Amino acid sequence: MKKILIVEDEAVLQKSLANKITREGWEAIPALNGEEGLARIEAEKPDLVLLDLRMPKMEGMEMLKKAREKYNKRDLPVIILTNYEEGENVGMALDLGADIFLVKANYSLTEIVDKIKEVLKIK
Amino acid sequence: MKISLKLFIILFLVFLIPTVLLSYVFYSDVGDILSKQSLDNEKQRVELQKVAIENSLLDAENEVIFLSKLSSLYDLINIKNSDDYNIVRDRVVSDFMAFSQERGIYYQIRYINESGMEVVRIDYDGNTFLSIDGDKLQNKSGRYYFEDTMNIDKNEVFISPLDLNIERGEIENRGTLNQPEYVPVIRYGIPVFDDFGNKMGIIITNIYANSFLEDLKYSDSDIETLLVNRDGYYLVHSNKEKEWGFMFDREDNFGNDYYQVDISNLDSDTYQTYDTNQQQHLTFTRVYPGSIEGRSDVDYFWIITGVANQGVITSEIMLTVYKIIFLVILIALIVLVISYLLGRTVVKPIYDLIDGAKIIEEGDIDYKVAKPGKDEISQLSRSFDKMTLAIKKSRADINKKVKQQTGKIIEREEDLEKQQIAILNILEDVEDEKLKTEQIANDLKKFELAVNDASDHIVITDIDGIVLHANRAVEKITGFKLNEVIGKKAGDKNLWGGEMDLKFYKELWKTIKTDKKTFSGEIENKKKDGKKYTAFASITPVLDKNDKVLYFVGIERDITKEKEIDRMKTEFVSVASHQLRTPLTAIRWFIEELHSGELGKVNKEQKDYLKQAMESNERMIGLVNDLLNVSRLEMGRLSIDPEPTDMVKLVEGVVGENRIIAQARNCEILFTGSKTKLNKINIDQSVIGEVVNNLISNAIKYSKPVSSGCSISVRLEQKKPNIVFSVKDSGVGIPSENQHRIFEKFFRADNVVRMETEGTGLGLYISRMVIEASGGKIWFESSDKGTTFSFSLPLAGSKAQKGERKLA
Repeated sequence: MKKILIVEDEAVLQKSLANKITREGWEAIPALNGEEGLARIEAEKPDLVLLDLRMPKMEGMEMLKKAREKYNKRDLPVIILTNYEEGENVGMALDLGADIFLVKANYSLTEIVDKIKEVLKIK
Repeated sequence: MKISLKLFIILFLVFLIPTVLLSYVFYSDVGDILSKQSLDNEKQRVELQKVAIENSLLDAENEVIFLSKLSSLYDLINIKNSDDYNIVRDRVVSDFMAFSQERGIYYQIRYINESGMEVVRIDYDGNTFLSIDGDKLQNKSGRYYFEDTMNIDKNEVFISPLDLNIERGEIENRGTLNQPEYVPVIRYGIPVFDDFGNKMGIIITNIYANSFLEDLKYSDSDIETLLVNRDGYYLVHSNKEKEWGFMFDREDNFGNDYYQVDISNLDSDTYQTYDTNQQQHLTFTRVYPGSIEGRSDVDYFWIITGVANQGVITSEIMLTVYKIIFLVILIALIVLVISYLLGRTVVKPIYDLIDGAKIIEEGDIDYKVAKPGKDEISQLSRSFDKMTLAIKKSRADINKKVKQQTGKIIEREEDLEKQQIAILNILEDVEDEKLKTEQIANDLKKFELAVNDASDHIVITDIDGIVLHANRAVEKITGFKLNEVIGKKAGDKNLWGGEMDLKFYKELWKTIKTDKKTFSGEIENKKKDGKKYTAFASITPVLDKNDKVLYFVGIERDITKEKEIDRMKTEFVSVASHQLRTPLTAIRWFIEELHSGELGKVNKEQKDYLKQAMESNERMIGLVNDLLNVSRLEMGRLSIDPEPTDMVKLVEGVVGENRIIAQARNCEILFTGSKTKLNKINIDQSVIGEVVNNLISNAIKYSKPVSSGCSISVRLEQKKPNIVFSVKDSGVGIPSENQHRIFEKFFRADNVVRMETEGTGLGLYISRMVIEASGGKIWFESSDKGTTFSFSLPLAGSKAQKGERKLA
C-alpha cells in the first residue's frame, strides 16, 4: 500500500485529497505545515509527497529544500500542489527537485490521482 | 630612401637577425657541452694511461724477482770453488746483458753483494748497453736503496719513489750544465739468499721512467702529459725542455712556465682542476707502483695531463662560427643580388612612370606612359594615362563652360533690369500686406492665451531644443519658473529631463528631427525639488513649406497618479486571484466527489445540478486564470521563452484538443497543414499555443448554431518574412461599430453578449499582448458571414523575454 503524505494547511482541501487517496486504496498521511511534513516524512517514510507552498510555520519551498538534503528524487518524489504559482516559484521548485508543479484549481481530484500514478509509475 | 635600398635592408635584416641569434645560441650552448665532454674524455683517457703504467710497473716488479732467480746468479752466490768465480760471474753478466737488451727500459741492472759492493752492473744510456768491470764497480753500502733492500725479508720487493737519479743528494745530469738531461728512475730491489738462508746481497734495477711515456701514447700533439712525484717535481715530461721543473705552489717553483695548482685538496685518485697560470684544465691521477695495494712504504706519483685547453675547444666552435659568418656573408650577397634584380623589375617601371610624368608635366599632354602587363605598376601606368586623358577632357569642358557662363551673365543683367521694375510694383502691394499682418498678430495673441491657460505642460523650442516659449502649466508641473526654463534646452538634465537612458533620447531626437514625425510615449521626468514623475509626452515638429523644421512643440501630461493606480489595480488582481483560487478549488473538488457518487448515491436530477455547478465553477476558474494572465501581461512579466517549434504540429495538437467540443456543436475543423514545407521557428510554444487555442475555441463558440453543421477552416502559410496563421469561421461576424474595440480588455461585442455565450472579454486582449510580445501582429476581417482572425510571426523567431514562466 502506497503512503501519500499531504502537506496542506487548508483543512477542507486536506480532507478532499485524503478521501480521494484513501478511496484509491492508498494511505493518506496529513500534515498541516512544513514542519509537521518533515516530521511525518521521518516517522512514516511516505512513497510520495503532495506539497502546498503557502503555509504557516514552514513554507513548502523550505520544507522541500530540507527534505532534499536527506532524500533524493528517486527515494522521495514530490508533487507541488498549490494555487500560488508565480513564475519564480515554478522554476525554483523544479530546481530544488520537485517532480511536477500543479496549480490546484486547474486539476480535478481524478487528474491529480493520475499525476500521482504517473510519478510513481503505476499503470 | 630608394625603394631598392629599402628592399635590400629589409631582406638583409630578415635573413641576418635570425642567423646571428641562432649562431649566438649555438656558440654558448655547444661551447659548454664540448668543454664538459672534452674534460670527461680526458679523465677517461688518463685513467686508461694509469692502467697501462701500472701494468708496466707490475712487469718491473716481476722482472726483478725473475732476475733474482736466475740459475747463473744462484751459482755465483753459492760458489764453492773460487777459481770458477770469473766464469760464473761472466755467465751472470751475459744473462743480465741479454735481459737488459731484450727489455731496453732499464737504466741499470745490478747485483750488489752483502757488503755493498757492485758485482755485476749493466748500464744503458739510451744508446749502448755497457757491462761495468773492475775498479769502475763502486761500493754502495750506506745508500738508502741498498740499506732498505737488505732489510726486507725474502720474497719481498723494495720499490723506490719515482725520482731523478739522486745519489748522495746529487741529481745525476747526463747532459751539460746548460742543457741538462736528467734521468728519472724508479728502483726495484730484492735481497738474494744462499742455500743456507744467508742474505747474500741484492738485485737492484733502475727503470728509466721515460719509458712509461710510450705507454702514454702521445698521438695528440696538443696534449701535454707529465709524471710528477708526490712532492710535485716534474720528472717526466713529453717536452724534454720542461723536464725537471716543479709544480704545485712552492717557493722554489721554476717560474711561470709551470703549472701552479693547490694540491691540498687533491683527495681523490683522479682529479680535475683549472690552472689559472696556464689557462688550462689539468687532469690528475695517482699511480701506485707495487703489486700489493696500499703499501705504505711505496710512494705514489701523479700522471698529469694539462690539456683540454680552452683554446682547443673554442677553436673547434670557432670553426663552426666561421662557417656561420661565411654563410651570413653569402646570404648578404644573395640578398644583394636578389634585391638588385627585384629593384630592377619593381623600381624600373616606376622610374619610367616618373619620367613619363615629367614629360607630361612639361606640357606634352599626349605622351603615353602605359605599359602592357597585369602587375600593379602596369595598371597604375594605364590609370595614369586615363587620368591624363580625363585632365585633357576637363580642360576642354572648362573652356566650354566659361563660354556658357559669359553668356549667362549677360542674360542676368537683362533680368535685373526687369526685376527693378517688378519691385516698384510690389512696393505698392506692401501697404495692403501690413494691414493683414496686424490681423494675424491679433489671432496669435488669442492663441497664446489659450496655450498659457492649458493644464498640460506645453513648450515650444527651436530646432536645437532651446525653449522659446513655455506655458504656466510648466511651472506648476515641474516647479521650474518660466525664466529658468526659457533659453535653456528642453528636457535637459538641469531641467526636468535626464532620467531616461541615452538610447531613449537618441530615438526621440531621431523621430522628431530626422524623420520629422511626432514622438509620443511615456517619459520619466524630475521636478525641480528632485521628485520624479511620469509624463505622457507628445513632441511634434512644425515644418515650413519646404519640409524644414521650424519649431518643436512639446506637450506633456503628468500621469504619475494614473500609473500608480494602474499598478495597484494589477497587483490587486494578482493577489485577489490567488485568494479566489483556494475556495474555487474546494468547490471544484467537493462537487467532483459528490458527482462521482462516492459520498452517497445521487439521483439524476441532483447529478444534473452538480454538473451545471461544476461547469460554472470551471468558468470561474478560467476567469481567474485570465485575470491573472492579464495582470501579468500588464505588469510586463510575461516571459517569452523561444525554442525551435514545428508550427504544423503545434496547430494540429490544438485542433485535436478542440475537436470534441466542436463536434458537440456539430462543427467540423478543417486543417490540412501547410502547402509549403515549413522549417521550425523559434517561438514560445506554450504562449503561442494558448493564442491558437483561443482563436479556435472562439471560432467554435461564436459559430451560428445551425442544424446543417458548421465548418471552421484553419490555415498556416508562409508569407516571407512571416508565417501566418488564420482561423475562418462561419459565425455571426463582428458588428462594424464594435470592430475597433475588439482587442480591448473586457470588451465583448454586442451580438456576442446577446448570444449569452460565456466569455470574459480577455481572450483577444491576451492574444494581442502575446503576439505583440512575440514580435508578430494580430488582425481580423469580418462580415455578417463570418470572421477570419489571423496572426503573423516572424520566421526569424521571437526574442527571449524574462518574466512570468507561462500563462495559467
